[in-house]
Amino acid sequence: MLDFIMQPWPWWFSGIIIATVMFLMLFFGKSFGFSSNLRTICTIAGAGKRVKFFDFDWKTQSWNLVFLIGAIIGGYIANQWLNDGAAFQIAESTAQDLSVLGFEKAKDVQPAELFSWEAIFSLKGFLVLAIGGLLVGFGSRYAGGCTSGHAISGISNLQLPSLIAVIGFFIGGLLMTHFIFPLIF
Amino acid sequence: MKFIKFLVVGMLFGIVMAKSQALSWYRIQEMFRFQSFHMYGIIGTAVVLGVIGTALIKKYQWKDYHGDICWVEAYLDSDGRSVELVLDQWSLTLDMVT
Repeated sequence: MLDFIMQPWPWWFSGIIIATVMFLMLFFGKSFGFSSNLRTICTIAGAGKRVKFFDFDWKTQSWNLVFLIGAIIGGYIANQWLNDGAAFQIAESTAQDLSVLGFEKAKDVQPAELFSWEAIFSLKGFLVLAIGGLLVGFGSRYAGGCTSGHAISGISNLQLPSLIAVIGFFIGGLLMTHFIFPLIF
Repeated sequence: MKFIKFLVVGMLFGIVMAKSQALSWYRIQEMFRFQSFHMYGIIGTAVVLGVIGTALIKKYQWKDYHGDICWVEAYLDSDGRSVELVLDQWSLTLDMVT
């Protein structure tokens, strides 16, 4: 049992836990959707003075900010105390594709080529992260949700707009992976 | 103190994101290159359970801990806008169960 928790979790167990998170949020009278926090944070930063979209009482969303803080703490707990320290494994074919693009063998969950101080302080690394962050922030708000809100909560509720949004996310990911990414790296 | 439950559920979410490795850039690369089933399995399991559970909540009108009918809240999108508003934005129509 402890071994099972300490190892990387299998897909079926992870899926059950994510669905559990969604149902717990419904039971607590809220909906599961992570990226609306981006809007809330912009509002706290004062964006409501200029843009109507951000002009709302952010305190009505404070439960979701608490959820976000919990998620950060949870990630820390998982990394510090629920980690058996085994080497990170990725599919052989993916490793090969990535090495052609100049990525070293995967050592950790994130590649140092993109997520490290060294990357941030290079012009290219900074631009990739900054533009990527901008696109994530804009896209998830323009679509009214992200993978949690649309793919999990929205499709569970059989909302057609959510299905369309998720198909859009997927097409975007395919275009980036296969056409744009090879131009950047 | 009324927020502590959201902190705990958030922690569970953070733990599952890390332990499933769904937050890994490499797992997402595997997914978009169709070289691993892992991410499809995670999202597929969550969505199938989500659809079944949400349908049961609606059918039996299960109440949340306030005593309100759960699915009323589920008709709000992640911004708290009603889905009718989103539908309007998308210029789509959808038969509402209401």
